[in-house]
Amino acid sequence: MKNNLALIRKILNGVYLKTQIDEIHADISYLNELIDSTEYQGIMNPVSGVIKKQTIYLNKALGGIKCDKLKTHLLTQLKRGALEDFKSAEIRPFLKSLQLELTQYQAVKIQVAVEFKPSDLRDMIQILERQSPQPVVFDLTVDPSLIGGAVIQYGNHVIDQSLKTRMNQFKENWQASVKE
Amino acid sequence: MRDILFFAIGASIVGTIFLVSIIELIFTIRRRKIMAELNTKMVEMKEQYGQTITSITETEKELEKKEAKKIKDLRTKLDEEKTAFEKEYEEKLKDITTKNLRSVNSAKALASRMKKEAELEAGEYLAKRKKEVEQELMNLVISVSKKVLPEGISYDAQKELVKRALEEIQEKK
Repeated sequence: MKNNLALIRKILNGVYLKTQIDEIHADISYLNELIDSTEYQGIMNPVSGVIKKQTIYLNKALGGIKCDKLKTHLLTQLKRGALEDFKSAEIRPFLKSLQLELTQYQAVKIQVAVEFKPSDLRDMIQILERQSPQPVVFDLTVDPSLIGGAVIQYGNHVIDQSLKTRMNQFKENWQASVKE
Repeated sequence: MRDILFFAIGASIVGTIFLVSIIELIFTIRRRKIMAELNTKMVEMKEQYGQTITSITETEKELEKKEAKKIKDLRTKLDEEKTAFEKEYEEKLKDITTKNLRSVNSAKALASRMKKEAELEAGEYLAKRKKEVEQELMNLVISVSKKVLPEGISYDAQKELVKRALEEIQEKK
């Protein structure tokens, strides 16, 4: 596949959650296993008159991919008839580059009180990416008991800016002043 | 014959009279003798009786004296004992009175101390209860706030809170 890096970045554009990264890792593992299978090796061996069989086989196999963007790209290539891209020699480097690109992402653990829209989560990620050399994804947990705010673990830094913690601190300060 | 008879009768009568007179005389003498003896005995007995009476009287008198002395001694002893008892009674009474006074005074002091302690405890209890009430009030406020706040905070406000937290961690980095 040509322009691997540009293609990979296009596939990864808009990824903002660690679960999405994990999903793509799983898809890469799935595709690698598929390519290593004897069935795949047998079907993808270039023999005339087998193109239809290859197309049908690949159509079915690509259905097992979870990441929509990756699946869409591969299905588009298949529709174009670019069967060469599915040979081991072509697809393996692509998958390897994709995997390497995934390792660049930095996961930031964040606990929030409500479900946010994907667009808002992407805006929040951009705040972190302003000064970060690496792309960032959220390892997101929704915990309504936080009431509001967030608990964030970014590298070695942890901050608890949840309303629950602030109210507990307020309560402790009050108790301390009452005891006095 | 008549004369002899009359002489015999007369002689017998005389003789009888004479005999009787002799006998009477004898008996009279004897009676007098006996009477004298009796009188003597009577006198002796009277004397003895008198002596006896005298000795009895003296013995009685001595006994009376002894008894009177005994009684006097007993009275004296009783009086002494009475005085001693009265003295002991007064001392004990005084002692008890003093002890009672001390007990009363110490009871008063104890009551006063207990009153002060009770006042102090009441004050402490009040302060403690006040703190507990304030604590409970705070817990209530916090729990109500925790229940009410999530609904009171809008989506945009939630978004803003998270963004502020992200800005803060960005600054720390």
